Amino acid sequence: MLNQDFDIESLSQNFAGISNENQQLIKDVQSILRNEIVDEDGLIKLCQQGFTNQTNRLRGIVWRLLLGYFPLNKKYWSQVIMKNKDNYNNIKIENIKKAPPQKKNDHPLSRNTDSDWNNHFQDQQLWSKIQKDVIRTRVKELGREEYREMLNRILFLCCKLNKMDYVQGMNEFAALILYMCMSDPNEKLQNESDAFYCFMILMTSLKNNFQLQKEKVRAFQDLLKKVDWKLHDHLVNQKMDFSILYVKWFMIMFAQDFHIDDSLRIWDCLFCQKNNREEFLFCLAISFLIQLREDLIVGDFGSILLILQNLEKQDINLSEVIQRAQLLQKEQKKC
Amino acid sequence: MSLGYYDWLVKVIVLGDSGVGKTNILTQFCDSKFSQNYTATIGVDFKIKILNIQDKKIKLQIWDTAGQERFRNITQTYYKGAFGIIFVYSLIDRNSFNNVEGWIKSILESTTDEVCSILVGNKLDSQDRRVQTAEGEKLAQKYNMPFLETSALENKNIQDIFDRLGQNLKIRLENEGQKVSNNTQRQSGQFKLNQEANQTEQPTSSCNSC
Repeated sequence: MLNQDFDIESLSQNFAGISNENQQLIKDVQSILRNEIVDEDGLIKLCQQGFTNQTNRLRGIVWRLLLGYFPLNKKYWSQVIMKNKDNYNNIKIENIKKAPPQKKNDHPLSRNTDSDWNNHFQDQQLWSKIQKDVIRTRVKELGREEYREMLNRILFLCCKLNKMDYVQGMNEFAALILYMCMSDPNEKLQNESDAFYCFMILMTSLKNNFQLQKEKVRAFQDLLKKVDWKLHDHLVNQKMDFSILYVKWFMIMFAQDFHIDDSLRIWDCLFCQKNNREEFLFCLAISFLIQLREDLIVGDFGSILLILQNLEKQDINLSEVIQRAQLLQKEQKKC
Repeated sequence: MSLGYYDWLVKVIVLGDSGVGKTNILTQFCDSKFSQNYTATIGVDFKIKILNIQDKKIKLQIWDTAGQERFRNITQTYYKGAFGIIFVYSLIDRNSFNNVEGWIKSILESTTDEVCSILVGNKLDSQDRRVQTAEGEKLAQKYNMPFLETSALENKNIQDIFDRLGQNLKIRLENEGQKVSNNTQRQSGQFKLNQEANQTEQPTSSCNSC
């Protein structure tokens, strides 16, 4: 028999060093999760500020729910985890293979698309292309060999199963999700298979993300103009290219260049947006610009770019940035 | 954030396959460190460094580009106006060497003026060499550019890349300067480099008036 009870109670253990406010948040989320059917809107309301290192124990369940990996009905959660562990194992066995066996009419130099050898070499190429990036992805958090292998497998299998090419940036996404899983205090949630399926869901929702969409760059610029025309004009006068920001912020969704806790927190907020992710990203980007306004408005082309591509090193209050972004988003909705 | 006086402002771009060490070379040169915390460059990154060549100061605006083909349409935007180009391959990655000519051709399409280029074989520190020195030299000769083997990890020959490039930049810039003063009626736009290099006459100061 599967254990039908997914452990919710341990969320409120070990409250040492956690502020009263954060304890309350954890308890509130916990009480939503205690219901048989999770109230998603209620959950989103509680979580949309993102989690800090005092509340990040909530992340594992909340991401799984908001991504749609966990159904809202709690009684299936343990099952989902177990079933997908098996599925993932099968996928691994099926798709990660050593050199193919000898077969008639097939040989290592064959270019036939149904040649085992040809497919094997293509797999190898894909694997090593991914490996090049895996060894330089979140080295501090995922530098251990076992994590690197997981990351490599997740990316490889996602590309292979979706018949898509590996694009840089995917490594950063997979890293955040894998880290979310492996750092979960609940052992049941520490598994590669959940990371894989959550990543697959995310990638499916991001189909066109890795293309430079000029009209979106334009839309972002227009929004900045509307919100802060002085800053907009200064950036334009300095010949700032907004497509650079587009790549760093919208394509990569703040997954790179930030401390991992900050990237994860931004993603907490992002997943709470459900269908308004892009709109929120725009507002978040503008909120970052406003946060750095004092330095940007006196900067020349070079110094502006240096500030914006080194956000990690700037003195930024992320809570403030997030709150401003949400306010902006509300205002935009009104107009 | 003014970097003080300079004689010329020059745009330099760094090109080469993914994972050959472009970013590490620049980090070593600009920030004097080898970062263990490095990541793949997505899109483009940007650095500034003042280079002293004899009595002249050249302010380098360096564009570090993503090696992955997927980002080519983004990085190509930055080819325009480049006056210095650093082509990088990895000594332990045969493919990255084979692809250098592709990189050279891709930029020749975007820049009509003569640019100062240099070919760099990186990862000299590694034992697993797959490209011989003579091969690099031959390729560099074919395209008439200087050649160096480097290690960003051990900071070997990194400064030399920029010194060699800087020497050539200085010669070109001085020549172009003469051409401009000999042909004052000519539009400076005819010299692509002058879109950047024209600022010679106005040493930098950060804009405080805004």
